[in-house]
Amino acid sequence: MQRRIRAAMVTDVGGIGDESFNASAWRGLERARDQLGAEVRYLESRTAADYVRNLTALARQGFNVVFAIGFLMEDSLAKVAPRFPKVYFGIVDGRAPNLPNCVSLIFNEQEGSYLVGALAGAFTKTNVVGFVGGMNVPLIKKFEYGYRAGVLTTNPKAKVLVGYTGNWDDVSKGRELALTQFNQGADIIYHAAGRCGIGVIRAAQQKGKGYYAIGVDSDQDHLAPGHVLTSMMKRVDNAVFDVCKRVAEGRFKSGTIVYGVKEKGVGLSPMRFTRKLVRDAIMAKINKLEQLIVQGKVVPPYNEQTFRAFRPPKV
Amino acid sequence: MGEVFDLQLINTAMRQSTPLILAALGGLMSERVGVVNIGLEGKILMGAFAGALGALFTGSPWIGLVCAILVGLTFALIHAVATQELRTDHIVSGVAINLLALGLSTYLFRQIIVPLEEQGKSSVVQGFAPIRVGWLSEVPILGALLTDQTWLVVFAFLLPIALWYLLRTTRWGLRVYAVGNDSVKSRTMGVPVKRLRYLGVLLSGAFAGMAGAFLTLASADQFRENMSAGRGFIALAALIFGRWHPIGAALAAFAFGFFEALQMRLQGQPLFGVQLPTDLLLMLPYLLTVIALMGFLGRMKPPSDLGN
Repeated sequence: MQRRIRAAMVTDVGGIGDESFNASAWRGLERARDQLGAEVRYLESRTAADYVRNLTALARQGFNVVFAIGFLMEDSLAKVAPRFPKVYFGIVDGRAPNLPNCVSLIFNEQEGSYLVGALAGAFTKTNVVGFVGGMNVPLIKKFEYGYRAGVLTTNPKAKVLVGYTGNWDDVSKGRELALTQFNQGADIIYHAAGRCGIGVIRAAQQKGKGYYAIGVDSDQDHLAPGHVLTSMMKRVDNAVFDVCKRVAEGRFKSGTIVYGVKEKGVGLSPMRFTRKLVRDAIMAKINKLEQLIVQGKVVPPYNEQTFRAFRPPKV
Repeated sequence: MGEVFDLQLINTAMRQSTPLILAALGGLMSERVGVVNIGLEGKILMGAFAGALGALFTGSPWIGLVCAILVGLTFALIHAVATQELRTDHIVSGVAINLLALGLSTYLFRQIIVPLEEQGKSSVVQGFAPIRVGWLSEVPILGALLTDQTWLVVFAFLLPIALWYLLRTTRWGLRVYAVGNDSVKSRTMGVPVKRLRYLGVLLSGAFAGMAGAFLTLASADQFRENMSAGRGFIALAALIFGRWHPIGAALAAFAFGFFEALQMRLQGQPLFGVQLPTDLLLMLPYLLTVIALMGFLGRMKPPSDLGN
């Protein structure tokens, strides 16, 4: 049984054009519109002060399910959700309040980051690889430590340069930070820095042959064909779509849903432009590691503590 | 030590500080004639957008640059009319310009550029190529500093010297100082106050537009939402720290760019064997700029007639 639902989302300050998880969440809603006939809508937040207002507005307008995109909205959702028991709420990357109408959609970014790290470690010629993060927050640390553990697994000798831009918008600074790391010897840089990452990809493209960026969240391989080794895809769209489908079918589940490699919530892009550059032996290694994660035999670290305790498997 | 401090660091710092220098000098031209200009941020952002759009549709970074300057001038004209004709508070007009620029550039970006991307077309523009250094690359220091730089960088570093000279020696320059210090007295002495103010504000728009064009035509080679990322406010701070002096403002802007380049490098390598924490390093440019400039600049004295 399906009914026609109305689904909406509130972006965090990154906005719908962040080419990252807000954009990805919106793709999920667009798919709900196309496949489930849902009526969809988004509201953008310019500042943190908009969160409560936006969530409340959508709930009042009678949307069946409202998504809060980003951990920044945890507190706001906790304020709004209890007032609208008939509206379902989902929060991406954050903890949902413990209510029957709320679900928390969590991604194991460290697992996908581990795989791209393993690829970078195996593929680097200089034995130096880089990481460019946006803000220095626990969410981005999951990307960083997962990546570092991946590099450690396939190339224990390799050095990982870690840098943060301190924001999500500054494309030019992202490019300069990447150029700095390239000058420090890196030949592959993974970014988890929102729009700053566009600059990282641009830097790899300008450096030319032998230099690569690794994209994040969406498949960013096409942004500089041949210069983006792969992208660590985080399928926020799938998660959002799944929840819409559950609501439409009347089988919403509260609590926490985790999307990892096993659930195909995170993973490598298809590498449309770069697959032939990478030897099959390396890809076989990556696939093997993916298997080990699915089987629970490798648990990639997500913060400094777990990284220190991490023992890389032999592959 | 040698691994942290080298000419490559200055090379990066020059690019980091170029848009700041241009915008700070823009602010200077406006504030020297008594018009407060906190709308620099918005003009940089609009300049960046117009530059990208112009270059995207014509394939020429020069046309992009012209578009950026024209849009900067247009926004400056709004500020000039608002403050000079309608007597709007300078701060209010500046804030309005910043908000308008963010909204407008985001809206137009999504209406014009995003659909192109969705059709699979690239939004990367033909930017300015680095200058060919030729025999200059053999010159010690200078060669290393000029490698991979666009002419906009060179322009930004020559501009403060030119402005300093012009403001000190020409009739126009002396009148600018006069208007900024006492517009009433200047008017009674027959100085065309309004005309000078219009010129100053328009120059600020042109320079801020160029700063934006640097971001899209000589750095990122494409536009993204809110990519000015607060540079207009840093430029304003540089202007104040530089005591409304062209060389001072440029030095302050360069100091910020230098510490920015330094912290980027230190994030990836230890200093004297110590890896400094990321959050401290991210704060470093702001902190060190304040400390460095407090030391040798002394008391700030704005043009006396600023904001009237």
